[in-house]
Amino acid sequence: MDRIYRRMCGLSPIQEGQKEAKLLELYLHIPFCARKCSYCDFLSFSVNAREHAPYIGKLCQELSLFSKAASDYEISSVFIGGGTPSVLDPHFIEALLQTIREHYHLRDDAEITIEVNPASTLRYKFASYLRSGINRLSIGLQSANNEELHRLGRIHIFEDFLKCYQGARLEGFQNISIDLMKNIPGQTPASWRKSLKNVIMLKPEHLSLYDLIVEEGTPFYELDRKGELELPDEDMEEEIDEIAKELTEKHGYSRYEISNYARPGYFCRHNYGYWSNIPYLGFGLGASSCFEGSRWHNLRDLSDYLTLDLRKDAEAGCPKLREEYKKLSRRDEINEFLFLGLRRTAGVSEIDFVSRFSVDLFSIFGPSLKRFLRQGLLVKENARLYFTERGMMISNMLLSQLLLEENI
Amino acid sequence: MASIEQQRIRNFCIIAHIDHGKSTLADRILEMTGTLTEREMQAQVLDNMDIERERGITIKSQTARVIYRARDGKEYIFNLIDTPGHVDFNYEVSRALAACDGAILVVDASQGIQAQTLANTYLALDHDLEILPVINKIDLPSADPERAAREIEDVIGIEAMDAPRISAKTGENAEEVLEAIVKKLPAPGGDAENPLQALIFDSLYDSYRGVIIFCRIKEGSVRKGTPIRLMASGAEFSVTEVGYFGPGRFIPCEELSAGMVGYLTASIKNIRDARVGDTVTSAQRPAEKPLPGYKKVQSMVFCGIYPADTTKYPDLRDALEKLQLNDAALRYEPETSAALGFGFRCGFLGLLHLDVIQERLEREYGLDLVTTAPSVVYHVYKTDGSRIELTNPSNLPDPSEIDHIEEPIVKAEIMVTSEFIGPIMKLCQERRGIYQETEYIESTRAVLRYELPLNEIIYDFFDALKSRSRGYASFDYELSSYRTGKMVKLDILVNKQQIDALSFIVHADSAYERGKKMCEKLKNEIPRQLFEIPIQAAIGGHVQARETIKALRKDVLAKCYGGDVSRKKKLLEKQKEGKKRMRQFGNVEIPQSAFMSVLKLDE
Repeated sequence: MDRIYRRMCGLSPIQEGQKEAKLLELYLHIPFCARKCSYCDFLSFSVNAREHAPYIGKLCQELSLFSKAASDYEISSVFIGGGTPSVLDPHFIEALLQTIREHYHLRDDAEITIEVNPASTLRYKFASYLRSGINRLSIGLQSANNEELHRLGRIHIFEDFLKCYQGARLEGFQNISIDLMKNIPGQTPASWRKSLKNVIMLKPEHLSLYDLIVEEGTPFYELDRKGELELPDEDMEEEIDEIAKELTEKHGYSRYEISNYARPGYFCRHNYGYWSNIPYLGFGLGASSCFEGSRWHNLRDLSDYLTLDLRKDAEAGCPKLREEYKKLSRRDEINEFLFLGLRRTAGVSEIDFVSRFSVDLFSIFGPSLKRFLRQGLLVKENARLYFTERGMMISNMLLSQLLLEENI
Repeated sequence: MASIEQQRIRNFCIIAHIDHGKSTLADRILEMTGTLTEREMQAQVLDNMDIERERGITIKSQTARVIYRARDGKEYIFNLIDTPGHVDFNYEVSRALAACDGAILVVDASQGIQAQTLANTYLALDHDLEILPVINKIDLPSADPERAAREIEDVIGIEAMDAPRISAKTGENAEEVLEAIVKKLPAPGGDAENPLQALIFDSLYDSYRGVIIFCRIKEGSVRKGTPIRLMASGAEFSVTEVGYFGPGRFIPCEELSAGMVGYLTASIKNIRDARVGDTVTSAQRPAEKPLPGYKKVQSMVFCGIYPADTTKYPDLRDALEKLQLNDAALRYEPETSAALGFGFRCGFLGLLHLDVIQERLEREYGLDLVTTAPSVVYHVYKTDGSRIELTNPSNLPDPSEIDHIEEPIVKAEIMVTSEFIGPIMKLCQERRGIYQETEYIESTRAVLRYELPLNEIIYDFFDALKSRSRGYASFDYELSSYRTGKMVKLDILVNKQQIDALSFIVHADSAYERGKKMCEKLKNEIPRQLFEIPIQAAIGGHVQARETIKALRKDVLAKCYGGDVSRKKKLLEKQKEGKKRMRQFGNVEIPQSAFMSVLKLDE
């Protein structure tokens, strides 16, 4: 297991002769939303609530069907994402977790997260979530400025969020993450400072601060092409990033990944797994998996998913359910190790690299790594390599340089 | 085959201004003579190369032999040689003409005579060809065949009132062309009993058969086993095969005799032994003199071609060698650049030729290229009395050693309707043109004659001409002389480092303007990097213009969770591929496209 992951999770180092637990993460996709946002390119639909029950039924069937493959594994985290899982009636969520408990070895300390939308989350749902064992909430706020929320096409206003947050705390949630978005059209450094301050005041355990990405196929993309999307300019963008750094540091949040910040002990274990080579199985429409050296994602057509005979398909090796199934080559794995691992502020461990690939990291990426070290973009410390803040800001450029000069 | 009488052979080509329907007529002739079945009939069969088909231009001459049963009941052999229409390829036209006795002059019924109609006609007349005018595109609503016929008579001075009026596209009246070929074009001369004289008008390299010589037999005959001598090189071979051209394939025959057009092979391994324009004669009974060859090709435009991946230098060399076998107009010699490493300085007929070669190298040979800004050939006179023919701007000697520089001047003929005379004259003025005369063809159309510096027209003159005349002006030119000009070398410095491959020569008066545009262009072409990069244009160390590329501040993917990994990987791969097309200069990466940006300064 990745040393840096182990240390972050506070797992004790294994003793000689002791068998290491094999960890596995589960991701459940809920592709339903009350309405699609203007920047969203995720797999989600606004459908009639009648569709929910058959979908959950299918999801439970999928969970139980593939549990056998996971019988050697301990489930370290469950993440219910979307879409907007909170649009579902909470008893569906209970059913999902019930299924997981029945068929998988869910660890006692497992992190179980659900993504919620401030507008669709009434207090009774929180109580139900807690009863089903959910111990972490991720609230998609995006901005504390109602005009910006409107521009994003969000259905909630800041006051909805406050009510939602309050409700969650009162019900007893002790681990809450809030998503905020930078570089929203019309955003200014001042409005960003205000949003972030308003959120930090509430003392959430975790913050995800993302840059808006204008993805192809979204309404924003079309606007941008016509030159009608007023994104903050480069100077503003830099100022916005400065403010993020200033306020998070001041209030005790430490940055542990490019876009993620947490108070001590509250990093997101599930997401950390993605960057640390922890295997995961995704269930539901379009969900991605990385398991035993292969990557794939589930089919993306909702009606195909609902009508698929899962059992029959599984017997044939999942030709219909799984798409883009790819066995990872050694080169793929080496590349992933770096470009995922280096997203973490803790970076990657040279020892992990050698023990996984039986070759020295520098013998493959030496020239570029040495250059980055010299240029102050990368730091090497106790056999650990991590990007400096500047390096992280331009990590795409640096990583593509690494891939170009690799010598595998 | 020897039994076919010379009287029943017609060797001809089709000449026309670009787009007047030359290739369509060629197709029609093949179709009507039953050479191709419907299934084989693909639009414009004679245009072989991908690039020709795609761009709708003919680059290489193609040849086909067809048999036509005329109204007199006799069968005639037509050797049809297709010629290119673009001004860059005049040289190819002249090669094709040397193999012919007559030429069909195709004129668009709505456009009338255009600049290349004239240029090609003069070329044909130079070769003593009989000219058969054909008025094409009568199906167009704007067609005015009578006016076109009048123009041919007035401007060229050849009989055109009974010229066939046809539509090659629909086939209307096309049969008339075949009859006219029989009646109006002469049969070839020559005597099969004389010593062999065959003119090489093209050649092709085949890895199994060696060089395939395309020739016109002027005197004598040749068959399998004939010992031959190539008169320029003196090399001797024994003929292994003779034959003629079916469309797209070679058809072997017994013998080629005086008046015929065909090919021969003789296990010739080195293309240099069989130069285009040379004469093939019999080694046993040689002719006294070679046939007059034709004008040696002159490269007008030079540029450096380098492999993007320096290790591909041998591949590039091989590819150029192979291309030259089929394109005698291509010249190349090795050169090195501090910026780009090992490559070649290549000479071309014009910019289109350059473009075509570059595309063929990339497409047919899978090479990734860096091409430097094209340049014309300057004559540099040094203070010590010596003269340099400068094809590479970076070889310009130190200004203190230069007495003066001469630049190539062309005589240009621009044909234009009267309403656009003003704008076109203004354009020529801007390009340092010297007005010669205006000649009216008819009340609304005129030929403007100008002397223009070649370096002002190679880049984008044609485009400018088209846009200022709403597409109506046509243009032809030929090199006329060298003239002293105030030329200076503009150097480009990226991050304070001079990039030799980006230097170019300009007239002193436009140096500032060009330098400024070049800097702006490069600013957009070169991606941001870790640090700020100054771009400067300088003449002899004096900076004329400057731009700055700001440092890259942010390039990071905000989100990367379970479902994003594959996408992220693709993104990085794409970015990596982009980087592959960059060249590293010190700390700075410059994309290949930057080296061609001097071409697009007016965009």
